Amino acid sequence: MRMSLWNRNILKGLWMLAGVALAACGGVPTSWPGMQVADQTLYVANLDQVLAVDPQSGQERWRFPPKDGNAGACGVVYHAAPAVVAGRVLIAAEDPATGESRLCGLDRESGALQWVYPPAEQPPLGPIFAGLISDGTQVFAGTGDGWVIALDPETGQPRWRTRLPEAGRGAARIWATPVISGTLLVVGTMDHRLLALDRESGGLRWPAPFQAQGAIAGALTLDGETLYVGAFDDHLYAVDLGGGQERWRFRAGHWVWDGPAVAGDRLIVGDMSGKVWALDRQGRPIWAQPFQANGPVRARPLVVGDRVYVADEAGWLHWLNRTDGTKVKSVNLAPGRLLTPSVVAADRIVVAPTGSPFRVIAFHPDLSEAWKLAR
Amino acid sequence: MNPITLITNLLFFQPLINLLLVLYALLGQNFVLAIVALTVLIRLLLYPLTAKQQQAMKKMQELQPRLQELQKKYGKDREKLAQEQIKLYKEAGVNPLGGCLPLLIQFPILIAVYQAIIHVLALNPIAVIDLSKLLYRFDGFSTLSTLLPIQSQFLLWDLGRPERVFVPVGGILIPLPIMTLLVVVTTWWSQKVMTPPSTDPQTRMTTRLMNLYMPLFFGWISYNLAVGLSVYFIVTNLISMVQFALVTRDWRGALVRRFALGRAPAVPSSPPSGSPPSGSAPPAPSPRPRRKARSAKH
Repeated sequence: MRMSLWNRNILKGLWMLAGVALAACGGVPTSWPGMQVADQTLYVANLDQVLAVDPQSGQERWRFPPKDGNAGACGVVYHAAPAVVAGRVLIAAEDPATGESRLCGLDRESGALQWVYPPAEQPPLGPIFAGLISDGTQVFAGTGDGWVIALDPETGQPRWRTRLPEAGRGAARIWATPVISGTLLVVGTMDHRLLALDRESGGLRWPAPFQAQGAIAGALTLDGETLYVGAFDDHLYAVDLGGGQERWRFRAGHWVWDGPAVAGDRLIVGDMSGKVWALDRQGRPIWAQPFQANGPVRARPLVVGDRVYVADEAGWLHWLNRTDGTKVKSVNLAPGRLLTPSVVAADRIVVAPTGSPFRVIAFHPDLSEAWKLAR
Repeated sequence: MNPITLITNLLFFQPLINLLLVLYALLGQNFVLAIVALTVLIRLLLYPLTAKQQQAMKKMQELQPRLQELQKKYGKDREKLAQEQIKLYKEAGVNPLGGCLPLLIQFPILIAVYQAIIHVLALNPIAVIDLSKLLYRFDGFSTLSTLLPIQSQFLLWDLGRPERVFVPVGGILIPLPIMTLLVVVTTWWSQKVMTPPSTDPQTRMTTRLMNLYMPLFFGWISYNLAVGLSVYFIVTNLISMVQFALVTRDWRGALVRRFALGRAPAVPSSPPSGSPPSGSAPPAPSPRPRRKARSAKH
């Protein structure tokens, strides 16, 4: 009898422990860093901080929230690449428990909070993973529940809000950083579509007549009148910007997440199997064989002159020769995972690893370490 | 990736994720139906184990009158009592811990199901990156990935997010945790129906407290984690009760009578209703076990 009592209550206790384990599974905030470079300053949104850093020396200029300050409704976790326009740095702040976000305007010089949209007394936005972009007078944000918002960067007042039409998969979630071309704002969605909005009004100009077979989750690449779009159907699409018609498609080895880097006569694109290709403007491979990274290549490669830098999810940063794709050097940043695009600033190659003790690591062009910022 | 994670992924997590996606595709891309179907399949898979557990507990129930006699006879001599109890268990071929294994096996399954639901719903880019490594690819082509993103909206809820439904009352937003309440009610109900009562005051008190805390605890988990998990809990609780009624062949008792009489039947529950078996209960109140108990007495 004692054994049975023991049996029952111990097992109930174990179930509670299992519950605690489950709760722990859901409570860890995930980092999806974003970076932006403007006027010799590097802005990094990573986990619980937004930093303004001198890219030459790694010296921190300001951080948000300040060490002794309160971020208010702009607290918790920062994912999307900031937008920098006029005297403002715009960031997206997410509450990871609910996935709800707000856009926040910081003073560019001091990092002081200037405004919050929507204000604390109004319902927040959906999650924001797409980078924020600006045309110089407005800032645009796409949300994970299908809204596109244009804001006045100075005041945080909305110019327009558009809910993208649904296509049978619930909200047209936006994870892909949009692009601006003339009067168009082109948005890719997780429900496989590409849509162009009017930049001034937010009205729909065209939905692309083609539809990918997989989600469009990464940044779009604009090159003249052609838009390059990666999708989870293992293809890279070249799309005519005029009406969204497909020009060609290239089949990769796995999902193509980010659009390619444009490097002179070629496009450099990676996929989630870790392969990296150089394609010509017709989608034909140029290198004799693709470069094979050590992990999935989620982020768009970075091209600086004749050097191609490829960051992979296993934490490797590779330096390739642009001409033939041969590897010159690799460095390993494990346990960090390199998921977001590297940037170049003041002759530094800068990465923001996920799951690393360092928020930002900068390298010289030869991949020797320049500086790094700890968490 | 460390070897344990690799093996866990290969054996549990990856098959679950792909199965969930296949079910989603087969069931009209309805994710709630996919979760329900997955839960039913898991219960069917575990049926041999849970049936064994229930049979072991039935045997324990049948021994209750004799155990009570031993309690009366050797109540003051704990050592002798323990010896006699062990002897009785041996004679009857009963292992009092026989019900543990099926319950223990369900811990990793519960966590794997939760992780599968969250990963398939792909709520953030990192979850999707992890998902991309787990999807089966056929002929080098990931056909399952064309199903992404999953339609996660179900009535008022986003299945991949915690329940945050509010109703405005007099200008104030009041939370309306419907799914959480359903988890609490079904957990409580299944425990109430399936947990046997006890004559021992200490055991009775412990049971009462656990039967109060467990539903609240699962409610707390449900409120804080994705609604998809609440669906899994609710379905599991309902299936547990149906399975219980099938085993005891006492549908009315399972659904109504035990509340009316304030009594519970003999066969123990299975999680997440979370009431592991007890050997301390008196002869069971449900018709079949009670008859067996009488025959054991005579």
